[in-house]
Amino acid sequence: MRVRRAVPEDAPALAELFAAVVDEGGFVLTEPPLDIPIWAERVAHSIASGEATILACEDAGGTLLGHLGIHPVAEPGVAEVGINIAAHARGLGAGRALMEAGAGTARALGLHKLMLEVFPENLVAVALYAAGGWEVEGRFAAHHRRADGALRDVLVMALALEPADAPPV
Amino acid sequence: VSVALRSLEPRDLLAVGELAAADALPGPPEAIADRLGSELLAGAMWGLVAERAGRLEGAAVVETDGPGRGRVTVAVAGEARRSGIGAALAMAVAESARGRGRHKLVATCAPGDRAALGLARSVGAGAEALLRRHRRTAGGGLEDLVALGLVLVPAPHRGGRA
Repeated sequence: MRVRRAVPEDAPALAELFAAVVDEGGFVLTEPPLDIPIWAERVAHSIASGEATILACEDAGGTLLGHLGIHPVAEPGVAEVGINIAAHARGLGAGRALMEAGAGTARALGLHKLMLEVFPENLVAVALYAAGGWEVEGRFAAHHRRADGALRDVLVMALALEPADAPPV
Repeated sequence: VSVALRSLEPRDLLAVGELAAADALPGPPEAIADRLGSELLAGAMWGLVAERAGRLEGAAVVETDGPGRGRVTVAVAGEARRSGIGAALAMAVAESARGRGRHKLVATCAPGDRAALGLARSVGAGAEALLRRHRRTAGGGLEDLVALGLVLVPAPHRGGRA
């Protein structure tokens, strides 16, 4: 298993994997069906333009196991993370490998903080993030509106990339 | 002379940028005005201004934060603070957001900003998260922020499974 920076040419495979996760329901905010070509085009543009940094985790044969996106937000130095693991690859360490590589990459990008949102019911994901040093900062109530009109809460979790005792940069 | 609230228009952008640059939004007034202008043109922002005798004394800007969700920034001119303009803008913007079909408004403020926290409470918004070491200060340090949320729809519409 290895983690590498994704390139625009990876976009179709990244989109296929994401579509499969979306189809499972319950893990991500995006609702099925995912428009794969449009999503792939958007991701390819994000990678090429530097808007986002995408990491791909693949097995020894080059099969994509999962991916992690680092998306800067309006607050300078802060980025949001999105992670997706193929169903067949869960429990094999791809998530942990991506989260560790994501933190290292974010530090190299000069970011001081990573954030993510996760459904409170997704206990496996919450545990994975907590094991990597992520902390729950709060719960956003009725934050996301689903297609059926239902509003979902999310936990907001964060990873500080700069030690509290670090000198100002 | 009484204060009148009206919709934010393109001609207000620089004055709003000047108000917001004083303490509410990062960056110089022109940069804030440019950014808000682009968002206004794209339909990703709307707002209200408070005017007294032709002078802009306050503004509430709502930027798109996600589908159905708006990020609010309220800015009031220094000499007009403690006059109720902020509360009037916050209440009007919440009502306007309901009318626009938004389900939630969010905002951030410093944990020690008693005026902003009081304003939020006055319209029913609550603290939802403490964003630790979140914002880089001018001095290079990192400061916490409080994330505030105001849900605009009645409770029966909330919940549901993915």
